[in-house]
Amino acid sequence: MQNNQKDSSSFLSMTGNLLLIHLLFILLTPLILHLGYFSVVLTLCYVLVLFIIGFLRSHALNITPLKVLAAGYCSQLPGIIPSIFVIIKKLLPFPAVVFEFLVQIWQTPFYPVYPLLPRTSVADIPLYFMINLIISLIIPLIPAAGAYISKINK
Amino acid sequence: MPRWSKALLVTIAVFLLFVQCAVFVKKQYEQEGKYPPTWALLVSNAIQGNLGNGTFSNTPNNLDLKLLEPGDILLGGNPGGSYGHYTHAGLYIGNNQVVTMYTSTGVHLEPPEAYHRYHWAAILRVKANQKQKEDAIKYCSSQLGAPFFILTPKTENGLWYCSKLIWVAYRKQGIDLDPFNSYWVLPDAFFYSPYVQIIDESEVA
Repeated sequence: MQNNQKDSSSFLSMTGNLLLIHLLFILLTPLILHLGYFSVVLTLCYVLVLFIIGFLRSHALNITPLKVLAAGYCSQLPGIIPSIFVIIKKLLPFPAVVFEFLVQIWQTPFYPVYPLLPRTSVADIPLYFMINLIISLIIPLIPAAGAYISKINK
Repeated sequence: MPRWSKALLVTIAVFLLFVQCAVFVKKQYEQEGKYPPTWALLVSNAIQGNLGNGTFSNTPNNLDLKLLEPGDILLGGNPGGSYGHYTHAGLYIGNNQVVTMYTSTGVHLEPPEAYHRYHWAAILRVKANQKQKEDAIKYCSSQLGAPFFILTPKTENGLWYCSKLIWVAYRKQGIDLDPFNSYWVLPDAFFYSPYVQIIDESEVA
């Protein structure tokens, strides 16, 4: 019973950490965008911070890489849910503009990279927006990789 | 009471105060017949649930697109729009094409007829010479396919929203179309700019 409580507390703590870091980088990015193309450094910092959090906190909280991955997906729900609505927008009885707006705001930390991408489209969707729709599914892999490396280094 | 819940309550209180402040400032400016500061306009519109371009019209407006010349700015607006009276802008580049953008399209071309869907629309002519207009058109066209991002500052960083691209394109020709000089350049700024002439305006009755 106590172990279960400890597990869920560790899981919530990891989810909270990942969520707060994402929110912090959403706030920081518009400020750093004043630096022009150099702002890409902030996105790299975000990826590095996610990896370090996975590496250090999984050890401190004693949780498995799989739970870190699950915590990552929970923290990315505000990006995953509107992305689903955008993907299925043709089936919706109402416009998906608000969801496109929410996806854009949620993926703010990755916008410094987008001007460096090729200006191509995938299935009539610009590459940058396609990445916006799927990146919430990729982000949780970063802290999970950190946790995995931490585990095999033990 | 745990420390985190106190911090949460303080954050919510500060947020609500900020929102009230934005609504108050917007009302004051409007009562004085002045254009409100961008932050007050955006926050008070967002809090009323007005996000994006608003509700499009079922009947087209009568904007006379035959008056268009390359280098002209097209504006469109709807009730419930978040960015002011006019919520969208595009640059006419000739051959029945307008450089514009939306969140999910990036910078792309659309026909000027798209501006008939708005409840109100306008054609603005920039007070610029032929060379300046041609260079502004070239610059906008060179950004086709570039990403849209609403939170980007005015800095040239490869991220655009509709009015920023037009503003940068003419700014490069020595013409600053933003009389408000705020963090964002909204489509309304072009309408109030002393460097444009209003060629036509139309509103759905």
